[in-house]
Amino acid sequence: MRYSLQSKIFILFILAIIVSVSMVGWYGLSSSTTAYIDSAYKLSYQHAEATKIEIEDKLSPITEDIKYISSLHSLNKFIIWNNIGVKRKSDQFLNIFEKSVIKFLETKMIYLNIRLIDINGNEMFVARYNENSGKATIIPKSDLQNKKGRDYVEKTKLLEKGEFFISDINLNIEHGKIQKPHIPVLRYATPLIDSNGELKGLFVVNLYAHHILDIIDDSIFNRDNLYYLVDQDGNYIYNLDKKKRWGSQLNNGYNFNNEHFNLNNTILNSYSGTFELNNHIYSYERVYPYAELEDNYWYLITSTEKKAALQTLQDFYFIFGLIILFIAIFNFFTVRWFISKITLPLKGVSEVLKSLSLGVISKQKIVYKADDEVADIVNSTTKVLNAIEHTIIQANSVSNGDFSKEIQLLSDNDSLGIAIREMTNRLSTIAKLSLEISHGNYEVEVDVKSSHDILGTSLRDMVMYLQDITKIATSISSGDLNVKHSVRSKRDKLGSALNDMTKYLQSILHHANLISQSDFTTTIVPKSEYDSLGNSIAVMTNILRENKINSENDIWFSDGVSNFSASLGGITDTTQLSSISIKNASKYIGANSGVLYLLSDDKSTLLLKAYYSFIVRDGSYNSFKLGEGFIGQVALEKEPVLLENIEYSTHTIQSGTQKIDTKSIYTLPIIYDGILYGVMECASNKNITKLECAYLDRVATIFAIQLNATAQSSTIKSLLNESQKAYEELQVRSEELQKTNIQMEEQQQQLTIQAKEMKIKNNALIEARDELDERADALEKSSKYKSEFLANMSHELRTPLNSIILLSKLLAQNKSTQMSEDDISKSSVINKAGNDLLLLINDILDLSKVESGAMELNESNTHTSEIIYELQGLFSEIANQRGISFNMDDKFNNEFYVDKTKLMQIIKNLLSNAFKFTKEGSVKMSIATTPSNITFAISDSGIGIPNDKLKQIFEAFKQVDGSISREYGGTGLGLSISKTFVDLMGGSIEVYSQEKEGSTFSIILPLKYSNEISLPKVDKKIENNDIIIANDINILDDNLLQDTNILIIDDDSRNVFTISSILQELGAETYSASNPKDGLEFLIKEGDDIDIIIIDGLESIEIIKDNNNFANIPIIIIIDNIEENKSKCLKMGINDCLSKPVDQSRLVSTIKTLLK
Amino acid sequence: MKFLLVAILFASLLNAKNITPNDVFAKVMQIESDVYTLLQFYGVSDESDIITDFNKLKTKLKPRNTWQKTYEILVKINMLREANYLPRIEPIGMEPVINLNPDMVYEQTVRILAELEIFKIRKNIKKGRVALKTYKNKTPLDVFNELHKISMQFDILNRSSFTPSYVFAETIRVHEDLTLILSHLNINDQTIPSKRDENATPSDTFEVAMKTIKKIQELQFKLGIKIVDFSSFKRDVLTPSDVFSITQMILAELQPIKAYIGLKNDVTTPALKYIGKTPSDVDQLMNWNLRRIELIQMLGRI
Repeated sequence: MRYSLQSKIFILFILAIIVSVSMVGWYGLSSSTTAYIDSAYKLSYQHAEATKIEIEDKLSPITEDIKYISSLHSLNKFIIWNNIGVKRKSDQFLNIFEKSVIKFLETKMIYLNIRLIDINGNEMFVARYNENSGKATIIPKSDLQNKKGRDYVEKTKLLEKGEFFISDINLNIEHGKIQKPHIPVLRYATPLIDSNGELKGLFVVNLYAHHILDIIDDSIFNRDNLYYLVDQDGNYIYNLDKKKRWGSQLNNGYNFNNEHFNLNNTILNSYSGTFELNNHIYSYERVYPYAELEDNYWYLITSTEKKAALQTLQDFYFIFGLIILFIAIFNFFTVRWFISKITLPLKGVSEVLKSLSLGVISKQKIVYKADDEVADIVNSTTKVLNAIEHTIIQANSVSNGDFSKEIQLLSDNDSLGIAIREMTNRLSTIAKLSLEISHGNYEVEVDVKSSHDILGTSLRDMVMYLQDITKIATSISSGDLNVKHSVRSKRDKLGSALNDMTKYLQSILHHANLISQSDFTTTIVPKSEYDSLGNSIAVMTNILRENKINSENDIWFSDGVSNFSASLGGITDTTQLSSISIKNASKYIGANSGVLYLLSDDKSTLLLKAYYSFIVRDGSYNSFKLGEGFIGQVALEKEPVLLENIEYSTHTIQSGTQKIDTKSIYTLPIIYDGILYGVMECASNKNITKLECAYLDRVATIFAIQLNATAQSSTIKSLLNESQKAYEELQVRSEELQKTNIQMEEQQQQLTIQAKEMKIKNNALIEARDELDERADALEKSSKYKSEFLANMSHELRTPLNSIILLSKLLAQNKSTQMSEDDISKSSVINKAGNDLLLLINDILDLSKVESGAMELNESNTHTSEIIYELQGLFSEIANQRGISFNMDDKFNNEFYVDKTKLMQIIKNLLSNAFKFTKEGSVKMSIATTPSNITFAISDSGIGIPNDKLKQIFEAFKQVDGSISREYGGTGLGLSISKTFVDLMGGSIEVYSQEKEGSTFSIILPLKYSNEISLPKVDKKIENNDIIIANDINILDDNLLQDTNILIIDDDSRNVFTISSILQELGAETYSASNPKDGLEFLIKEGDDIDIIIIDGLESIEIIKDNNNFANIPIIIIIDNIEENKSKCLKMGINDCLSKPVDQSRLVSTIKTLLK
Repeated sequence: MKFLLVAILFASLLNAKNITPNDVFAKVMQIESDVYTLLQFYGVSDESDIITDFNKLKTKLKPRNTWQKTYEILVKINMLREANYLPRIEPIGMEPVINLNPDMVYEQTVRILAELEIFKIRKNIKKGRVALKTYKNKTPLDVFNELHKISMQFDILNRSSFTPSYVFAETIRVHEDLTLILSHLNINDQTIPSKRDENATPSDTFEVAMKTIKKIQELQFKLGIKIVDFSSFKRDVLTPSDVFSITQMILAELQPIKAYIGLKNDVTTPALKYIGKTPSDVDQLMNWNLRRIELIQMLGRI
């Protein structure tokens, strides 16, 4: 029975696969079983270990937290001051510490409370954090407990500084009972020991333990894997069944030792491990809440049923069987398909080879895609067939002369292919050499293969002939003409032509050598009309010959001219010059004779001045007029004349032996710069050439220049002589001038000294003036400062005066009736003195205001009747008291524009003086006008003023007689102020007085009108400072201000006291505030019944005024400059203003008015 | 010219005059007279009960030391007021200055006289004050010794001297001043009180106070402040009053240092009332103050 190759291979493959898969499967199954069991153990242990690490990580920062909070500065200070017994300070630091602890608890959120316990177990401080509200609170002192006897108190007291006590995790206890709902806690405690080593207290922190139990809860991944956290006695801290926890505190009877295994017996002294017990896999780990406390630990135990743990192994068995079955089926079909893929192409190859053995090339396509030995068989067969076919095509191409195609060798051993390729290469090489030669490249080597290689030998001989020809041509081209080619035969035309060319070039070379030796005698004959080289050389020879002649002429000419010039150097004599010139010129051109004529001074005649080889036989040659003969004609035309080829000469040249006929004469003018100096003539027995004529022209010019220079030199000499004389005269005059200069210089120096002295004096004057200016400025500033100072002192002076005047007046009223008459009189004196001082201050301030420029006019429309009315009220009573008649006459009785306040002050002052100095008689005042002025005249029949004192009365502080002030009083400032005011108002004040008869003071003011509408007048009684009190007010009435509540706002306590005293005396209730802000606060708190507000100054009163609740309470302002500020007050809605110092009656009457 | 006259008029009202130790001494004598009146009022009429002679100090004192003695008398006036059911008015501390103007001492005597006058009015004591006499060649030490004598007479008047609680209050004032200085010098104060000595006596505390003064004087020396010799304050038998006095001197000596480092506006806080304090408390606090001044000196910030 014959099996095919395909069947044999298939059976073998199937057997090998079955055996190997069985062996691998058995080994993998047994190894996997072992690994799964080990993995279950490790997994159990890893769970326990990971949970343990997480718990310890959670607990590890707690001791650091305690160290931080227990070292707070505020806590230390609290303990110190608490121990020293300074409650204020201990409370202060405790307060700070409390805030820190609250912040700490609310930030950390894991602590139940923080406690500070003294060494007796008393809680000193407890802060508690509520997880539900997220807030920490301080436990009131009343709720603090005594924890004496608790383990964390008693054991902690025994610890060193920095050590910790950590309790078991158990339920929180408050007031001796387990807190409900249960709060599991873990307590950390540390002693507070100071630098002195003294135990000052205990610091205890309770941690919410559920943060630890939550970690275990989170670790449970299925119900088969159970966790337990137990203490060293087996009490459950964590059990999934919550009712089993806290056995030690709740006595519920649950204990790990009873339910699982005895800890002490099973895992004693072991830190961690895994073991199998009762079909359970147990893993355990010790958990340390604080690594440094080795005896303080719990057990974390995991428990897993073994069956549950190995469930994955059963699953593995089932999947493994399925995989084996799949592999068997897969291999069967794969092997079968693969073997058929191999055997099919082998069959195709077999058929092709069979055809080739019969000489037939059968190109059957055999498909096989893989790259292996079968593919090699298929490919080799295909290649052999292709190679045989390619060789046939190559042979055909060579036979057609195409060497470009290259045969592909089947391998290095393809002899047929190599032979065909060699032949093709040989033919190709010869073709390339021929191509190179045809391109002129003869440097090629022809490889003759053998003596029978005719093609190679012929090609080599041709190359050698061409190389020889090339060598000769190269020599000729490099200038070497001594070469000759050996002609190969008569047919060697190229060689013969080359030799002829060499000979021709040699003849050209010979001719060139002659030219280079300046031999231009020979001339080359061109070979033909096409011999351009021969023609060019012949032309070049002619040109060089002519150039040589020209050059020699130039040299002859320049040598002659330079010799001629040199021969004339330094000669100034005209005759000598002429003689040398004609001699040298004639000799140089080879003339037989020569003559030279110079123009006479009158420019009309040419006189023979010199000659050469000329015989003067008679006087006919001595002179020629212009235009006479050749000489005269040449001079006239100023053009030379050349006579040549003279056949019949009348003039011969006489030598010692014979006479020689003259053949040519050249006559030429001597001209320079267009001026004729003379004529020169040379005669020769040969024709005088153009070059010689040119030479004579040039030397004639040189001669003329020399003549001109000689003439110029003579002129300069004469001028020099004249200059020398002039210089000598100048020298004499210069010396005289120098003397004069010295005298002037001395005068100049004296003037400079005087100017300097003047400048110094001038500077001194400027400095003095500056100093005076500075002093004037300083004085002005000083005066201004002084005035400003006094003006600003207004407030400071009036404030205390206010108190003095008011209080003294109050005392003088003697309401308490306790004062003696003497005391009352003293009080009156104080009051009067105060008023006098006030007057003086007012006067000084007014004066200083004017001087400082602070006084301004406050003009308004005023009716004279108002003035009369007010003055009547003021002075009628005084007049009556003194028995003096007082009359006022108003002839104007109209309105005019004036600063009424100041006018009234002036008039009152003058009237006061009038009354003061009039003991009997009358005082009058009249008002009269002119179209431009209004005059107020105050007359009295008093003591009058001496004439010599009239000028002084308006000066400040001056009275006519020193005794006057003592008798009549007064400051002496009144008239001065009056005059200043009048001046300010643009008017004048005049005085007429007769001693012992009386005086008349006239105030003359410009009469002005205004279109301004008069503001409605405020109640006159209130506006007028000097009005006394209303008739219906009795300031001695104690109940005048009964039931009146008055708020006084003043920053000066003296004022407050004074005004309060006055008002309280009249039955008012007074309140005070130091500023409007405080006043407003008072009004808001207790100001419902305030009837009047009195405020010092305008500053910040809007605080009260703008408050709607108090807008209806009348306000009285007390102010310094009432005139200036009154309108401002009224605009602000102030009810009334009073001037400082306040008049008691005025104040009371104002209050009463406002109350109405 | 006219304004010059006005200026002279105002200036003459001031009647300006330099205060001398003679003037201060005259005022002190008026105080003594008032205290004598009070002693008589309270029945201490026996001359033997009134201190007329005592161990006078012999050293060269500064106005600040004398000023501090007047403070001591004001504290004793407070004790008197308290004993008579009048409200306490705590005297204010000395203004921190490098060199105290002697006028300030004069002001203090006027203040004392005013307080005594008020007390006399409250107690309806009619007897007036003796007229101001003129003294010559009196020194600050004379004033100090006279004030010391008055202080001792107040002890008779009050029938008690300073208790440890009063001394404690003043020691707390020293502590506050040191807190100010430490804070101003940016020194982190980590000092704590020393161990409590239950058997501490005034003598022990006085010793600590003297050490404290010595440390303060070392600082003063660095700052170029003239040093006062307090050795004569030491006696054979020391009482809380002596500790009070030396504590006052500590306060007085701290003021120039405060002024020097820029604490011119930080007047020492008024004393508070403490009760039940023992010499141990004072000793512990005084020791703590010593540690703090040593800290300042050790760090060399001054």
